[in-house]
Amino acid sequence: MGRGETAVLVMTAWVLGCSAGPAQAAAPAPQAAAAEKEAYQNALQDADALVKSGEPERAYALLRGYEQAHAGEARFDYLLGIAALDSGKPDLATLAFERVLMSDPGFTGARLEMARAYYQLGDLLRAEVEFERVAHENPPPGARATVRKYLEAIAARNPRKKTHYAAYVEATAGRDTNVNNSTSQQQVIVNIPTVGPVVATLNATSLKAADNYGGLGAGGELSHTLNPHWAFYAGADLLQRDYHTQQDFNALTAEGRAGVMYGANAEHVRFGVNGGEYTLGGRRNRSNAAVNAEWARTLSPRNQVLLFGQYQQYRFADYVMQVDNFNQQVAGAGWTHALGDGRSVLSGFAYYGAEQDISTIITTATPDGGRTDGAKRLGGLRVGGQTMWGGRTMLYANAGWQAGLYSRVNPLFLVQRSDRYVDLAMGAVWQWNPSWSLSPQLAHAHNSSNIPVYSYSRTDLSLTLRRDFR
Amino acid sequence: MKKIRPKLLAAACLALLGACGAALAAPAGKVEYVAGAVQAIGAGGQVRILAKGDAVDEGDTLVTGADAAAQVRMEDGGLVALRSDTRMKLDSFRFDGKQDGTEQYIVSLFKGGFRAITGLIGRLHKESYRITTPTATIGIRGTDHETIVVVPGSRLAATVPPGTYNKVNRGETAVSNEHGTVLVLPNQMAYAAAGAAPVLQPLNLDIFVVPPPPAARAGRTDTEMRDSAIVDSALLDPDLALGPNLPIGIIFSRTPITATYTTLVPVGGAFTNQFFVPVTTTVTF
Repeated sequence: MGRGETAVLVMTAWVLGCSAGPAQAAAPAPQAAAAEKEAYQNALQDADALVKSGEPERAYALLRGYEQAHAGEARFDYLLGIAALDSGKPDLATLAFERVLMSDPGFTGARLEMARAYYQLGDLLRAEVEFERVAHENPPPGARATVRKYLEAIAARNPRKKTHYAAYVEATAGRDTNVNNSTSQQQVIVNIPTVGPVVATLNATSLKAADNYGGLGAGGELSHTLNPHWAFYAGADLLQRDYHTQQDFNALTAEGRAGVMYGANAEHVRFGVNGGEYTLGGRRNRSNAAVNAEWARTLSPRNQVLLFGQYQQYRFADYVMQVDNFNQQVAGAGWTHALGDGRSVLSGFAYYGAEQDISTIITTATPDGGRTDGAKRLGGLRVGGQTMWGGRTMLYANAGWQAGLYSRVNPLFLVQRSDRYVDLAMGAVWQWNPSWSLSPQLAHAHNSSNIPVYSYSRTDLSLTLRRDFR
Repeated sequence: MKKIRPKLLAAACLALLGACGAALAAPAGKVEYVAGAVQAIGAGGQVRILAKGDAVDEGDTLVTGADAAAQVRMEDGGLVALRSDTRMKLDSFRFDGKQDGTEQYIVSLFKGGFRAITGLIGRLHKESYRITTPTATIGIRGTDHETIVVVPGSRLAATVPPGTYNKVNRGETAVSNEHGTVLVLPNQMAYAAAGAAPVLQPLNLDIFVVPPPPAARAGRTDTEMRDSAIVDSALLDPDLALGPNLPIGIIFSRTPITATYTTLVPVGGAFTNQFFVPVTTTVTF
């Protein structure tokens, strides 16, 4: 064999050796293998810390690079699945948990996460199977409470049925410091066109009055799934509040709503109508009717954004109050953010709107019709939060602020009305079994107006016992 | 200079070509996970026992044993999770990184089943992705779906009728045969029997429950079990966070606000003694 032939064979052998690929490549040096192992262990620790500190997206990105090499290792797959689930990839999470459970069907922690992932995918039947299997494995109390909440939520949306009903009855007792949202200022200076400024004394029914009350309420809602994307809903509520002595302010509220919902992946859209009738002291007081639309997008399991709009008509029954009839348009945007471990949520939205006064009644104060104070522009913010306390109690608090500016100069007060409204509420819902709950609530509202008869403060302390039927 | 013998040169060239071909022809996918006995039968009939990291090629028939499973990461980023007791063939897999209509992913499923999370193939050109079974053809519209073929005599045939079952987790599929087509949306299940048009049926958990039931725990306690997770926030009640009644369009006083004032009105004419009487007037705001 000559040198030329030898060279050809050597080259051929070299190329063949190269083409054998990494599978047949020489094993990495022991030092390199040790370094690789250390890097992998560090990555696992870092990913675990990232998940626990609420950064699952970063944990998933970190682990994804190790999937080809380490898929099939229970600890890796469990962590990868959790990172995927918490960062909004329940489909990929189920693949990781499938691997864990194929190898170790007794890993109840992974089964619980698998059930959560199925729930996120909307696969309620499989979620129910896995949650029930976890429940039978005697999980720790915290996990047991979580499983119970999921199973209740699944039962409420029974996936075997297309039509779902829910109803409730409730009884409330409470103390209301201002039954008619009235000012506590007894005298105001009023400009009477033919007389000039006079001191007027507000009548008793227009002054702040406190009273105890009792109330009953009932309501129901049904939804019908048309297909996996579309559903129809309708509901109604009836609430009665009776005061102990201020019976002119006993209120009966009847409200109804209906609409359609569309859901696909992370998007939800809702179009609806709603209306209500309000009776005060046994007499019809006002009605309202509205059309509304809402679009929500879940950006990640931690964040959801919302846009909404509403057109509403308010009509008063009493002829004297019909000058206050108005139409209103409001549009807003909101955001919901889950904190840390998902047991707490913060929400908020901002809105802007306008009201048109539409009355045609002519009075000395409204020679051209409309409201005494005219049209209105309004804007506001609302924020709130809630957190699970233990397995059965939800604590919540919320606050709102709204500014309203009217268009006309009020002839009796010679100012253009401007209001600043704030309200605060906090409470708890203690659900000691799936059907019964007890809810104490403290709410306070305050309106500051440059027209003193519209300034008021109100505090309401209540306790509500509720029975749900699903 | 001595001549190189032509036969030797030809043999070397052939060896090089073969090696280059093997080196350059990218596999269709790579095995990411294997549990139990899983085989690939090449287009030429050669049988390979699949292990983690092995390549899967166009033309391979993948076979899983009872209680076996595998996950294969495809070159287009998609993923195939093979169920137990399955036989499927990767008829065609063409992907050079482009979504220009030349890409293709065609699978024949003879029995058993798999879950597929599609990758780039089929994202722009839906017709590029297809699964054929003895009783149906399944096309996709960007999807995560599961397909099971129950053949007579199989373990599943004892509980459900033979045919093709398709469940969608995300996206949409179209299940067709010569008798008709049905579109399948998330969490719906289609069934295609031989000689009948595909129909939607309630999800059958005898077919689509994936993880095996819990094994005997032998006193084991899980140290890793999360009480809560971010996704649990979906169970919270948004009305509580923001308040049940939005204070938009606040109605202040629910009854007319009224007040009274008193003025002294003169009584009497210019030529008589004039005096004043108080007159009370009610004003409504």
